[in-house]
Amino acid sequence: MPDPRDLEPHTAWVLAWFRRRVGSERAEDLAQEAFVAALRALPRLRHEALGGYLLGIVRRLSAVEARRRRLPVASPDDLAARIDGGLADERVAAVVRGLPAELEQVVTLHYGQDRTYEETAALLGVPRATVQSRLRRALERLRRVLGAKENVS
Amino acid sequence: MNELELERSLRGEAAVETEVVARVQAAVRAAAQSLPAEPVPAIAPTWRAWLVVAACACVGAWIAWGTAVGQDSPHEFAVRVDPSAVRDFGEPPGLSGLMAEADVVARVIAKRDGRTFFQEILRGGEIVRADEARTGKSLLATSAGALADGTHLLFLARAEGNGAFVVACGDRGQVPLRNGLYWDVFTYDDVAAVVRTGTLDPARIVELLATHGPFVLNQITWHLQQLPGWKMPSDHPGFQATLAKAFAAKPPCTDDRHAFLAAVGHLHADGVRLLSPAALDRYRAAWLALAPDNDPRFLVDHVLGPVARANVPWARQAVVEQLDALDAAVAQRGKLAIAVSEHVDNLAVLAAWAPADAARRAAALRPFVAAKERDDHDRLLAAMVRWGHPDAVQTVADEFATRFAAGEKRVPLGPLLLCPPALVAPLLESSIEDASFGERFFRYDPVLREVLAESTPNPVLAALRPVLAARVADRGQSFHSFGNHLRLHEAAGGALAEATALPHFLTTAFETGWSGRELVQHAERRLGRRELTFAEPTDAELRIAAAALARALQ
Repeated sequence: MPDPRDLEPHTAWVLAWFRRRVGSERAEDLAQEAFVAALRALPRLRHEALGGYLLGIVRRLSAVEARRRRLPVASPDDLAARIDGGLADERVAAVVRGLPAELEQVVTLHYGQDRTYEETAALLGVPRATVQSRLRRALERLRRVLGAKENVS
Repeated sequence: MNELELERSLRGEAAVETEVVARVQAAVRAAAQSLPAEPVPAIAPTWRAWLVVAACACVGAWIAWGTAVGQDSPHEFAVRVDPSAVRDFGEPPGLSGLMAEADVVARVIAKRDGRTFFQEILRGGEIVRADEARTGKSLLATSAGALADGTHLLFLARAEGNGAFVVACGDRGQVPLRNGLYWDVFTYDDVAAVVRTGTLDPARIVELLATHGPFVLNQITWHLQQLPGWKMPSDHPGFQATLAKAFAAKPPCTDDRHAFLAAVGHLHADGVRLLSPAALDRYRAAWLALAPDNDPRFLVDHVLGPVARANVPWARQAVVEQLDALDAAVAQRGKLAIAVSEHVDNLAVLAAWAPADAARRAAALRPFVAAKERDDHDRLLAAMVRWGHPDAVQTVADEFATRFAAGEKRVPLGPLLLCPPALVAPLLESSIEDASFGERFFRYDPVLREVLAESTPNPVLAALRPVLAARVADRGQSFHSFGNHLRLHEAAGGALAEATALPHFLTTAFETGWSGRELVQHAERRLGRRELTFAEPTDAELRIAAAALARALQ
């Protein structure tokens, strides 16, 4: 059974996830909700399943919040089509937000929080090769979406 | 898009979250101790699948039923809340009296699932509205409409594993409604005290610090900082000793940075002197761990300041190194990408033992402040004067004369009032005699506010008191100009009774909205009458203020 402290390394990516979607202020509340849900479930979790379980919670909470606030839930291509004139960082954040959840998670951990392949793999309870392949797929998608946008503009 | 660009974009995102991350982690730690874990189901795996299928069927049926009900009556849920069940939840001890005092009570009660909440609004003990509610600001927003006319509002919340909290209370300000996890440290009595007195007794804060350790200071600040005029009572007897002891019990260390950062901001030099050599070593280790990842603008004053002021050599050396690095960054970029108000605080740390060096750095930064940033510019001028830069007085006088002659709306009056009277009084006297003077400075100018808030008369203004008295007596000026002159006259040591034009402007106050408010605040300050404090005075309230002033003048 994981220890409650095992949740702490996940804080930054969970916050980053919510912040991309709902802004800083609400992100903090949602992050707490996610961790409280995870705390309750700890006794029936395996250590290596923690990252995946949290991902499920944040996706669900994001969806609930999106419905409540009527936030758009968009595909990467939709997002790219809608992004225009924003700052580079905002564009990247928006497109990262549109990645599939597993890919967004590894991108945030590896590029956003400077975690190595090994650290990311350990945190998510997946093999190193999986992290590498997710990152490769994420980069391909990002290049495709952002590259297409840059070519158009 | 390449990997470097991606990294840069996402790192920027992560950088702003350091403090929030620590705050959430601390909250989760607190929750881990208070939340009961879900029991592990003792059911064989084969049966779980069947149970899931059965549960899905039940949920589907429930959704279908709920949809049908919702179509008939969109507000069905609200009316289906059973008030007697709500009452059965019980009133929290210590708050029942408060609930009786309140005109309107919004009470929030957690359902047993710990996720959804009932919110009920009571007026005169009767429930006037009940809703499903969620935690967070949405709750307050939901209720705002219903409570707009509530003059004395009490907002209680109670959730599994958490305490109660008050989010708003009439004219005593608003305590932000945050996730209940943060409220674990407060008791119902604490909440009651906040509601009744508008603050929490400093002795109680020291007690909480002794009980919960240094991190509790952050939680206390988080909740109470929006109360009007509230600040951490770090000067309270026993606070520093308790904080030093708390550090010994829960040392500042690299694996709990937030506890460290939250607490050191309230540490004073006398508290640092109570730290043991071992605790100081840990402090240094925490600083070395923090420095590479955090913004030096924040760290110099906040983290190094207490220890540097207590004459700890490594801290003083680190302050100089950080300031050198900032100066180099400014010179390299050619602009001051720094909040000057924060940076002056940083320089003030250095000024504690090397004022000339601090003044030199402030003077060097002045050219990098944009012309439109008058507040920042004048802060640097004031810093130069305070720390004895050799050219400071001449620079301030020149700046004042130039901007006054150019007709600028904001002249650097605050820095001028810090200069020796003999050198600047003649310049100021000629300016005061100008009919436009009363309109030419901004009384919310941060430096001027500090000067005017001092308890002793300002020497420059005291030298010009007769001139100011004459300007106060001028009935031909605007109310705004009159108010400005009156403030300066008071800061010169002039008595309110000398303001012979006051009744004239008192009459004017009834005809001018914001000016009337200014007058009320003025009366409140002069008379020490808290009951005269009105956020937006009505005519009736202005009349109260006027009557009080008239009595004081008799």
